[in-house]
Amino acid sequence: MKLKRVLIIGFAILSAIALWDMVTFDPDEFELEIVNIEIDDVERNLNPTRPPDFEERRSLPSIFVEDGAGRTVTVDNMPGRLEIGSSESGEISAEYTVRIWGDGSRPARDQAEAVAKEVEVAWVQDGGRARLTLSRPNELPKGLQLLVDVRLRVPHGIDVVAEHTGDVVIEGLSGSVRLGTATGRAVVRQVQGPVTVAGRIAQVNVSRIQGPVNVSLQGGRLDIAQVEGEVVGSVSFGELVLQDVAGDVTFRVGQGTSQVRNVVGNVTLNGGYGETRISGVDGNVAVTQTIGSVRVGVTRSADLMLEMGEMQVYLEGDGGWSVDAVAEMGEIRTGLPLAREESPGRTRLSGTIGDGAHQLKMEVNRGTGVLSRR
Amino acid sequence: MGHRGESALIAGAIVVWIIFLLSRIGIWRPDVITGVYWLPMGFLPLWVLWTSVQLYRQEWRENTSYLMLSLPVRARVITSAKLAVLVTGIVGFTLLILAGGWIVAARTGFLGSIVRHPEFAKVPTEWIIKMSLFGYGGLVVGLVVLGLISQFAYLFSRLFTRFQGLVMVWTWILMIWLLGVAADLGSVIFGWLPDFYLRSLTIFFDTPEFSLVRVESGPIVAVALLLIGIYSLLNVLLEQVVEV
Repeated sequence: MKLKRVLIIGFAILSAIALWDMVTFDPDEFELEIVNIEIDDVERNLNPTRPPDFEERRSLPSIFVEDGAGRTVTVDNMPGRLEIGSSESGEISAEYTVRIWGDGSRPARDQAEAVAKEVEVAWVQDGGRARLTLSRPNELPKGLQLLVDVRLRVPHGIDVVAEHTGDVVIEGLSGSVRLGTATGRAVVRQVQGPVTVAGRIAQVNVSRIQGPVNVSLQGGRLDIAQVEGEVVGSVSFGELVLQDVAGDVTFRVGQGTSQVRNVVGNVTLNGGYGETRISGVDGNVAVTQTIGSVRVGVTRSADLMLEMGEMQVYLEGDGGWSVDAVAEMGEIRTGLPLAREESPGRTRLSGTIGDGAHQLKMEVNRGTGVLSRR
Repeated sequence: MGHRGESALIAGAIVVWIIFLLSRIGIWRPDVITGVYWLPMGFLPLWVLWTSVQLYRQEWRENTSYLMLSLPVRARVITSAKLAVLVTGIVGFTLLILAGGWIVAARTGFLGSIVRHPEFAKVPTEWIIKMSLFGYGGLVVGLVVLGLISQFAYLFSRLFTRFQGLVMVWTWILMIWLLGVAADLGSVIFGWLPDFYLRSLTIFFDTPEFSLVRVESGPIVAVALLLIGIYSLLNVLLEQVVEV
């Protein structure tokens, strides 16, 4: 009986503590303690707020790469900030800054200085190819954090290949750019050659590109603007904003929102779950989306399909369309003069608007479609 | 016998569900059939909750608690036997559900479409096997923990003569809260223990790359110690405190 009494009293005390803890719980303070994903650590550690315990700027001797096709500069993955710009001199120049953080103590500063001596960025050349490599200790002493910021200047006509963890700015190049970015912000602008970017969790901004663009992003936000070539790519989770493209656009957005504006060529968009907005497209539009909301402005032919959700289609300009719109287990609303066939679970609108020169195919399953003109 | 009948009924229902979905091939879309298959499988945690309590509750309901409490065996023999029944059920149902999922995905062609995907070929088989086993192990352990907590909550409620249902529910909530507290404290107290790492796979530039996911061992050790404590207390309750 004594043990029973002890257990009940313990239960009562524990209940009181638990109740107090639950009542005073602040959701903002909640964080998952058990699992820390390294990539999050990397992101947090890439932008330390306090000054480093050790900082040293170093320059590398300028190099030339032989003339000819396939002249390439490759930058190995270095955590930190990477800037690549154009060189007017015809030489490739590079400088880098080693920054090391410790706990601010004297021993940590000594340790940081010792580590910095083992950090070296160097060129490895092979004919028309040059590689910027990083050598550093395999393991840093506990508590130390190392970032290597690189500034690179590349002459005209040289292709650039870089894989990077951290913020990247690449601008003013005339060759092709192939960038792999793990996390951070990546900006690629004013590039004449083709641009290929593959990002994990990142914010990617690609603008003022003369060649074709191919971007695949696993998560984050992708902004693409002012591209004269074709744009191809995908965003698995996140946001896509794409505007002012002269070529065709072919994109897949797994989950998230996509806005496409002012495209001269054709647009093909494949969406999973989310919101899609398309306007100002001079070419044909093809949209396939699984679930969500689709709003499309159409000036020429369009083939639009939504599995579940709401689709709004606006016919823009003076063109004419042959319309074939079907809603399965849903409805289509329109004020346009189209023939309507109703059967259980299915609505079909068909007919010609204007000269009927363009085909408009619209299919909505389990949802609502709106077709109007403006 | 009651549990056997109930388990057979659930297993039968799963088989009927599999057969029904297989009959929808060619009528429904493959991804819809494969997706819909998993919807009713959320019953498993509920079954664990129900069965965990019933394994003890029936002793009082059928007046066999006299026998259970007077048996000349240590309480840990009884509690571990009841946990073993639960683990058997969990493993049996999960294997049946996974086998059903495999059959449905294979027959609809959904599995084939995944396997034929170019990126799938780049994923190392060894990694798939390891992560599958890890995931399955985690699922079984999670369900067993759920069962243990439920059994403790039921037995603890037997200390009270009134509001036993309310006490059971509150004890269950209290145990979940306690696990969270233990994980937080474990992160500090056992912070000196080495972390362990899982490999997370991403396909980057058409090349498979592994990034490391660090898992702190401190909270896991603390939760494991608390669960051992709860199990020990369960034995003490049964052996010394709970009355007929």
